[in-house]
Amino acid sequence: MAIRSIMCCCGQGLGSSMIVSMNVERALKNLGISGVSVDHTSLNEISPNCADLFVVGADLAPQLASYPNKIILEQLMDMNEITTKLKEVFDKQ
Amino acid sequence: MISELLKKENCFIKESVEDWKEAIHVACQPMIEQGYCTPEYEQAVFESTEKFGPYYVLCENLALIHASAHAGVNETQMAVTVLKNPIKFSPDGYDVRILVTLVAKDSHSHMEGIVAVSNIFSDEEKVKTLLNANDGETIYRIFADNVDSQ
Repeated sequence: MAIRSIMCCCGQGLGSSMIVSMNVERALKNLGISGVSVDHTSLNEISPNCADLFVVGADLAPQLASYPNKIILEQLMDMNEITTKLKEVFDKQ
Repeated sequence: MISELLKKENCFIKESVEDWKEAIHVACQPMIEQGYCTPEYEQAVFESTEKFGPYYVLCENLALIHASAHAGVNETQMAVTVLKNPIKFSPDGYDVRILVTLVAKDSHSHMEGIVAVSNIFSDEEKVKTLLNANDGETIYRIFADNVDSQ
């Protein structure tokens, strides 16, 4: 399935998820990937069908246990990590 | 405009704080005094910390202190405090010297401030400049200079 939407999630949907969504956009640009919408929200507001791929910090990963398509970040602000993990996912498409 | 989101007079240098609770208090106090939020906001940060741990410590040196948009928020606003001495929010957590207080009434109105945080913290030199700031004016300038998406 082609990934057309990415949802970044955190507890409140205000701080880290917004920063991560910016880093995801930056990483996609660096990877030359376009046509993907990136948004952010709180964990309370997501459902497995609301995006093709979810991005979340390691501390909140257990709450996304049932989600098949996700990237779990050990370091929220690490551009190398997010870029590497996005590349892996998109390379498989 | 960043000037609507972050006021020069809400950029502070502080020598040190006793513990993480004082850090939260110091970070929230100006926002409460100026009416951007009620004391309920600070309380919500404490309660969420008890429940989830320090979810706002995003990397070395940075705490983006915030609660939800529904916890006594009146108006979106930010403040920045640079501590001369680091504080830990959990025993095995990062040393933190930069407290960015975020009071957000919805999920998008503070975008420009977060762009600045993201731009600053993806560049070691900028973080260094911020850590070495000696007055609020310098702190404000670093944020104001980094509001454009890069």
